[in-house]
Amino acid sequence: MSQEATATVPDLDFDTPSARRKRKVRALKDRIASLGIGIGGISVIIAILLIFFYLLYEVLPLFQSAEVEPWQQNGAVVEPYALPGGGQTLYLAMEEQAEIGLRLTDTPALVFFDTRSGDIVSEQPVALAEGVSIRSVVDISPARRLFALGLSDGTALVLRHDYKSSYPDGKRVITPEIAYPLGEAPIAVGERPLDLLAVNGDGDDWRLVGGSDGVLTRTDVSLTENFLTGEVQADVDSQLLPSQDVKPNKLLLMPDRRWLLVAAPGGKLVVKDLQSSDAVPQVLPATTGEIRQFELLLGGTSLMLADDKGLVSQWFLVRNDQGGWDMTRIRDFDNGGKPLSGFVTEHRRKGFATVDSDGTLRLFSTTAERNVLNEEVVDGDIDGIAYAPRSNALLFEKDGKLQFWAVHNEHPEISWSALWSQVWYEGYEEPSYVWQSSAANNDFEPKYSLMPLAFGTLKAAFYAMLLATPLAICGAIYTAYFMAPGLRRKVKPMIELMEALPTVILGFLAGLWLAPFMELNLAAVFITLLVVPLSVIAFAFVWAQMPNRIRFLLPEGWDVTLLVPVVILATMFSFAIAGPIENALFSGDMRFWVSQELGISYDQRNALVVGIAMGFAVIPTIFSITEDAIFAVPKNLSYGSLALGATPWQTLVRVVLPTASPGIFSAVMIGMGRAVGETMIVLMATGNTPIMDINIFEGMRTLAANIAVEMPESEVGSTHFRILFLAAFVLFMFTFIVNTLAESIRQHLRQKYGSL
Amino acid sequence: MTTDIKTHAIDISAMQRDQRELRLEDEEITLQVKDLRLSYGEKEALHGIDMLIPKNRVTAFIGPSGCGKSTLLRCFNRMNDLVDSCHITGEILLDGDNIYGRAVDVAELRRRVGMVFQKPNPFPKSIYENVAYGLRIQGVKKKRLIDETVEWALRSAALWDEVKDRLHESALGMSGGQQQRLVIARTIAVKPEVLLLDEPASALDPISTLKIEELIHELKKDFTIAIVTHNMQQAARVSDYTAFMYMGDLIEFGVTDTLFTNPVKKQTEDYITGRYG
Repeated sequence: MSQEATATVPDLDFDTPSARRKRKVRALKDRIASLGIGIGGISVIIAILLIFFYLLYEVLPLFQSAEVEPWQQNGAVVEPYALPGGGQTLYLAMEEQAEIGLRLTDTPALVFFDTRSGDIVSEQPVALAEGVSIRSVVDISPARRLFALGLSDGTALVLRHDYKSSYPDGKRVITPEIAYPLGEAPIAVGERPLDLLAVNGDGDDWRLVGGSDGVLTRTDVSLTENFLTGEVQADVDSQLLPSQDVKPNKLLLMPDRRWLLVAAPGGKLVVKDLQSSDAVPQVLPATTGEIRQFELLLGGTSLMLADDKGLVSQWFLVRNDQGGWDMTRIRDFDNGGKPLSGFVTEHRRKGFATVDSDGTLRLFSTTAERNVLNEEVVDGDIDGIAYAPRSNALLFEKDGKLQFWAVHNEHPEISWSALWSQVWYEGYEEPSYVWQSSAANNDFEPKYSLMPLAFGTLKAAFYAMLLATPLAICGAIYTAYFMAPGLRRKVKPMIELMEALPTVILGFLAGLWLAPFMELNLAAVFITLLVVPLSVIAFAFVWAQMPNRIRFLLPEGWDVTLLVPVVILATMFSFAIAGPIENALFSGDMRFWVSQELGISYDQRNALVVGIAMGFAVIPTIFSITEDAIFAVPKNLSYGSLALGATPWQTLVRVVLPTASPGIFSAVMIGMGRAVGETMIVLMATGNTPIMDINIFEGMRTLAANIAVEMPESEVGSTHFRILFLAAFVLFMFTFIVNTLAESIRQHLRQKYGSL
Repeated sequence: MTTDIKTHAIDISAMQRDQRELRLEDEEITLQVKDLRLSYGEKEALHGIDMLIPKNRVTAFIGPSGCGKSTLLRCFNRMNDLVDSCHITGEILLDGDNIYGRAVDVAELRRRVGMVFQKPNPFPKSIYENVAYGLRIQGVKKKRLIDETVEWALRSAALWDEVKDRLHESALGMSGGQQQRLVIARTIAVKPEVLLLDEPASALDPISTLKIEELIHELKKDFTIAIVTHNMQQAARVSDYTAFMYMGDLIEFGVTDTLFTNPVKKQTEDYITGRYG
C-alpha cells in the first residue's frame, strides 16, 4: 500500500475559477440561511409580542377613567342655554338618543326641547282640575321613563314620556308624546294633599302610597281591559295605613310593591312590609345627619341614599336566618364630605352620578365600588340633573340655564375588587365570588368575578396533574432506566403518539361516554383505581420471588409486558366485585349514597372525569420530556454509583433522578401549562358551571372554556367582550410566567449540572 | 500549573523499586480467575483466562485495543452484568469465594471490589457528598464518622490540601485530574479490598497522570490494585505484576520487570517493542 500511495499524487487544484465561484455561492447560501433562520426566530417573538399587545389593547379600556366634556355639535361646543318654556323645573329627563329633553314646569306644562340648542320641539299643558296644584313629582323608574305627579286634591297622575322615530325623506325624526299608563284621569289616593308619593307597578297592577303630615294611604290599582270594547277599566282599592311614629320625609315603593321605604327625620330609614298589616316596621339609623337623596338603583333592588355630608350608601334586603328580610347597608361612596346638589342613577347600569355643592361631578359604579370620574363641571350648586338612557350625556340646570355635557364612561363595572375580591351582589346573602355575565332580564347586575374561573382552571389542572404526574413520571423512569432497549423503542413512540390525538375526541369521549359510564359505575371506577395499582405491586412482588428458572424465561427489561394481562384482569375483577361491594357498603348505589349519605352533590360531568380525560392528554407531554431527561443522564454516572456498591434503586434515587431533575421539573411545568390552557376537554367534560368548590364530584368552568363558550355571544367592544379578553390575558400571563419560571429554573439547574 | 509542578514534584526514582525479590509463589492471593470465558451474544471475548491477582500489589493489564483487558477487569466486580447479552462461565474467587456464585450480593461485591473508570465521573454533588456517597448508601448516618472518613479518603487520594477549603462546592468545578483523584477517594472511602482502575489516566494531562501514578504507589499499601492501561511506560512504572493479553487470551503474566525485560513469549516481545498495537 505504501509503495502505490507515493506513485501518483491526484491532481487537485482548489484555485480554479469554478472552485472560487463555488466558494462564493457557498458563502452566499450560508448567509441566506442564517438570515432566514434569524428572520424566522424574530418573527416568532414579534408574533408573541403582537398577541400580548393586542390583548392589552382590548383590555386596557376596562381600567380607564371616564371623561366628560361639554357636548360638541358640528364641531362647536354647546353653550348653556336658557330654560326652554320658562318657569321652574319640576322634572328633567332625556330620550334614548339624548337629542330631546323633557322638562316639567310649574306652569304646569310638559316641554320637549332639543337638548343641544334649547329649541322647543313641542309643548303641552298638564290638564289639571280647577284649583289643583302639583305637590310632588316622583321619578318612578328612569329606565321605563315613568314619573308621577302628586296633586293637592289627593289624586295622583302617572305619566310616561314616549318617543317615536320615523324616517321621512331618509332623515330620522323623533316625535315625543305623553302616555298615561293608568288612564288620563288622576287616581284618588286618600283625602289629603299628596305631599309625599310613591308609585310602582307594571302591566296591570300598580300601587300608590301617598299622603301628607304622616298620614299615608295605600291605593292599589288593577287595570282590566274589556276585550269586546277594548276599554280599560281601573279597579281602585284604597286603605289608610296605620299612623306613623315618625313623620316621613320621602317615600319609595320597591317594584314588588311589598316594601315601603321611608326616609324619616334624624337620618332614620324605615322599612315597612305592606303585605302584613301587623308587621313591625324596621327602623334603621341610616346616618347621623339627614337623608337628602333617596332613590332606587336600576332594577329597584338597591336603595341609594345620601346624607347631608354627601355620603352615599347602598342598601338592599338580605334574607336572614329566620326567613325574613333585613334591609342591610352594603357599601358607602364618599363624596368628599360635601352635601350633594344633584343625584341621578344610570338607566342601564348599576351606577349613579352625583354633583356636590362645589359643582364637582362624580360618577360611580356600585358593583365595582369604583369612582370613575371626579371633575368640576359647574361652579357651586346645581338645580337639576338628568342622565341620558345610554349614559352618554348629562343635563345640568344651573342659574336658570341648561348645560349639556357628553359623558364617555364605557366600562365602569370593572375594578380590581370586582374581578378578584368577594363582592356583595344584589339579592345575595353575603359577599361572594360569582361569574354570571348575562341573565334573562335587562336590569340584572353582571357578576364578573374571575375567581371562580381561575379556581376552576386550577382545579381542573390539579386533578389532571394528580393523575398524570405520577403515572407519566413513573412510566418514564421505568422506560428510561429499566426497560429493555428493544421494548423502549416501541413504547416511547406509542405514548408520544397519544399526544397527536385531537383533544376534541378526548373531550367527546369524556363528556358523552366516560361521564355517564362513571355515574353508573362509580363504585367500580373507585375499586379499579384502588385494585389496579395494588395488584401491579403484588404481582411485582410475586414475580421477584419466583425461582430464577421461571424469571429468566423473559429477558431482563421485558417483564413489564406481563403487567398487561394483570391490569386487564384486575380491572375485570374490580368490575365483578363492584356490585356486591356496592350492595354491602353503599346500599346498592354509590352515586346515590354519595349525594344522600355524605351530602356531597354529584354532577355527572365532574372533576374526576376531567382529571382522567385531561390527565390522559397531559401524560404524553410529561412522559416524553421526563423520559428524555432520565435517558440523557450519562451512563458513566450510574456505573460510577453501581461500582461503589449502590443498588440500582439507590443509584436511581440518589444519582439519576437528581441529575435528571431539571428535565423532570420542566416536564411537569410544561404539562401544567398544557393542563391550564387546555380548552376542548374541559369545555366538553366539565359541565361549565362556574362554581368554586374543591369537591371532586362537581364541575367547574375554566378560563379557556369560558372564553370559548361566551365569546360568540358577547357584543364586540362591550364590557363583557373585554373581560373575556382579560381572561385570555390572564391565561396568557399565567402560562407565560409558569413557562418562564420553569425555563429559568431549568437553566439554573442545567448550569449546575452543566459540565456533565 | 507551574505551581503544581513545584509543589508536587514527583520523584520517579522512588517508584523504581526493586522488584527482583517479588515472586508470585510468595504472594497472598486476593483474586483467582479460573477458566473464565465471556461472550457477548455469539461472539466470545475471553477464551478461558486463568490467573492470580496478588494482595497489596499492583497488577497491570496491557495489550492492544480490543484484547479484552477492560472486559476482564469488569468481570472482577460483575460490571459486565449490566451489558445486555453478556454470558460468563468459569469462576473468579475473591478470598476463596466464587463471586459468580448463587448467593452473592452484587452490590456488596462491588463495595469490596471498587472501580475507577477511564473518564472521571464525579456526581453532580459537592466534593464532600461525592466522597460520603458510598457511606450513605451503606447506611452510615453518624456525621462524625462520615467526616473522618471523608478526610481520610481525601488525604489518601492526595486531594485533601487542595480541596479542604471548598468541600461543599460542586465537584464539577474541579480539574480533570482532581476529579479523577476525587473518584478514587470516593471509591476507597467504602474500604474496598480491591481497587480496579480502568485506564484511570488516559483522559488526563501528563502532570495529573503522574500524580495518579504516585497515588497508586501509595495506595497499594492498603489495597490490592488492578490497573488496565495501554501506556506501557505507565505499566512499567506503577505495577508489580503485568498481564499481557491479546485477542481474548492471557498470553503472559509475571513480575513486571521480568515481563518487560525478558518476555517469554514472542507476542509479548513484539508488543512491548512496538511491532504492533
